[in-house]
Amino acid sequence: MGDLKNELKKYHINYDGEVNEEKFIDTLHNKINENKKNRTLKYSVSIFSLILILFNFMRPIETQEEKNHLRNFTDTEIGKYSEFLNYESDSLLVDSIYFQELVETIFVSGEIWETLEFFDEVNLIKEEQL
Amino acid sequence: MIDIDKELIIKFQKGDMKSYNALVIRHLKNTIGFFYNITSNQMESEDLAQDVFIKLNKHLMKFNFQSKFTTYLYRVNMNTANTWFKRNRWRNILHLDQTVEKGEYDTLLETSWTRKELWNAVGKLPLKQRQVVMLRVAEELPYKEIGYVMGINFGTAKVHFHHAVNNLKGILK
Repeated sequence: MGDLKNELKKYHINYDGEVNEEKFIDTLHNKINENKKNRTLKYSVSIFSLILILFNFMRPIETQEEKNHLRNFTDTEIGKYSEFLNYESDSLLVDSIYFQELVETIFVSGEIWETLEFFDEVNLIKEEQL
Repeated sequence: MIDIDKELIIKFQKGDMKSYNALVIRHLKNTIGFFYNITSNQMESEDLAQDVFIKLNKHLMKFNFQSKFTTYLYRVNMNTANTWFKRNRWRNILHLDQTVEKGEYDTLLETSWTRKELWNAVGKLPLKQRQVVMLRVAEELPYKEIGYVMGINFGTAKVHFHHAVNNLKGILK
């Protein structure tokens, strides 16, 4: 086997091949630019993916019940889940709810005289209806 | 003594690409030589040297001179060579490259195919041993400097080389 250790130490080549430095530098810069472009593209794709993932997480989660409901939603249920009042409701009751809410709104906004005036008007309308 | 490498790197960090080119030219032949010792192929050595200088272009911006530039360069060379060894191992497994028939070690040591065989064997060594062999054989560094490059002490570098040689004997048998 000989002395491999010493042989290994002698196993060095002094490289004396010719290198076209200009060509090497040109190729190097092309590769560096290409690398930078690829890196930018990678970052962009990563950021875009991250935004998509975050967006997906931030969206309200639909429960299975909601999903089933939407899947089985029929026209007949529109009235049931709508916030609009039913056509068949008592008109006097509807009017009174409306008046009460309006009075509250005017009162809360500090328009006391307007509130009182409004009450008078309501009383007048009621009297006329009677 | 003026540290030319340091000056060139500082200028490069300020955006002067000409300084980077000058740094590349200064270390080009040694870097190609390092890989030529391992691959015995000029084209492949130049490609590997390109990889090294692409890495340097990216990382030298953050280089803060805690070690000598040449030490840093040896480390980048070693890492690039390690990647090459891994890639080459797969290439051999997939028979993309012609594998050389093994002959009598003593008589054929000086021939080029034995060199190839030797480096194939080096590629099979554990990482630390492989690194010591690369620096000792391809770069002809003294143990003290090998220890400095690898972040180990002088004695440990010597022990790694001793184990590497024993392992190589086993692989080349």
